[in-house]
Amino acid sequence: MTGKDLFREIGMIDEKYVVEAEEVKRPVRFNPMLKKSLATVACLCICIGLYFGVRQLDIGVGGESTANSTADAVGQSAGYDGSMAASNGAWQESESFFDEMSIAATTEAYKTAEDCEVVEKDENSELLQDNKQENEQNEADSQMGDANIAESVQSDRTVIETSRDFEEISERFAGYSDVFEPDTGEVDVINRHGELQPGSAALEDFLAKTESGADAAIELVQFTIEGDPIFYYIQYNGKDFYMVMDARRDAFAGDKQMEEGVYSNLQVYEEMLEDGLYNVIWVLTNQENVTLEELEQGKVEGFTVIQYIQER
Amino acid sequence: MEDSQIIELYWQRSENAITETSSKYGRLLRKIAMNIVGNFSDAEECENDTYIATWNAIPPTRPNVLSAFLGKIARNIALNRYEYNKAQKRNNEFDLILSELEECIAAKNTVEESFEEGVVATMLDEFLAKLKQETRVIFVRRYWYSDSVKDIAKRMQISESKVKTVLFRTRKELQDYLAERGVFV
Repeated sequence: MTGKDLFREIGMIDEKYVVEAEEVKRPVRFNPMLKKSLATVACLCICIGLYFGVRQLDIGVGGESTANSTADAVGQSAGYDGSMAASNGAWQESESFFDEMSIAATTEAYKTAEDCEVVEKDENSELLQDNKQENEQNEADSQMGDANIAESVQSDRTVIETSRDFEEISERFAGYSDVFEPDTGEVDVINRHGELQPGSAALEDFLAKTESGADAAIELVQFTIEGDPIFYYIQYNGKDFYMVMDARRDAFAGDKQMEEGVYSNLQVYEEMLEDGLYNVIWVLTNQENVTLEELEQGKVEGFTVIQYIQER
Repeated sequence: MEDSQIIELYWQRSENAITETSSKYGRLLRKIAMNIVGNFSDAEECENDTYIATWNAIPPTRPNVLSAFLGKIARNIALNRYEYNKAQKRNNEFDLILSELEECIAAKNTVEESFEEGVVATMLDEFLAKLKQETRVIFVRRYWYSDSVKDIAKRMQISESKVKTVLFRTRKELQDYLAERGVFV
């Protein structure tokens, strides 16, 4: 018995299991971790709010106890000293000695704190000025760095984006590794059995450039079921599409190890599988307005480059 | 329209039977076929062939559950199509499903046994009856509906790694279960 035979036998299981599998569908759950994190964030917000509230109250209490005039309590240092002296004089006439002492102490502490605040403000403004200058310098350096990187990348992509040198492309593919990760930079897109890494952005970018008539190129790798990579290079020069496929590492490639071709059109077919899920197929062909059916029936020649599932 | 009414249309040889079937189950059949053949054009063909096969099967058959009946036909037609297309087009996802099922069948012992069609299906029914509902649903979605691991994870609201683990363990159990009953590769 083979896997296929078992697959057929599974097809004959009791219908109740088939119906059960169709009916059982769990609703989207609110992530319990999200609930906990929301509660934590709410507590933090309350704590922060309380902290600032208490700080405001402390400052308010200190000001009211030492100054009659609100404007003087917040005003310039020279004016403040004058009003403070007047307040001290006024308080010295109070009946309770303890009150006089405590208020005088509070006044002194507040005055000191106020001085500190003024000094701190000066220091802060100096720091801010320094930080501002440093930030400006960093930004300038970063822009310079980005420009340098962009220039080098631009020069590399410029070379790739205009290349139709079969030997050069073959050599480059031969030098790529067997194991790909999304950020190695060896290719633009990795297709693992319909799932794209790092995503479809590079494909969409390529399409956008071709639609605007600009030169563009894209490299992708797709994996067979055995895990063998097949490389594709597609380049557009404003007029037509040049394609190279390298299946030299596919154990089942047979005679079709390397393919090269020029096509006038790139057709993208989309089929909605279910809500939000689409099957997308790219086909290179020399005729316009070709249906997929015509291609599959062999009425028109075409080359299927990539097929993947996209969520929207 | 209810399934019983659709079945009645088939018995009356009314062409509306196909229209109603397509309207109610077309998407499901296309999805099952698509999971196996891997391209839209073949999936559509399989769907149409399913309607023809159903028209020929009803009557005399009067299925209990129309969706399962149609799904079974679509599945078999798609599998035949897949085999026909295998040389030119390969559906990587379905190849993976078949290779997973190969794991369920132990290596050959000493005696070669051949089973009548459907006998193993009965064993599978007994096996499935013992499983927990979640495990059973995951197994059937994978190997009857040919859903991808990602689709199953989304449907069951669990992680893909959990789906893979459940499938791996269930395949191992199935392998032992079938081996005890003399089913080998």
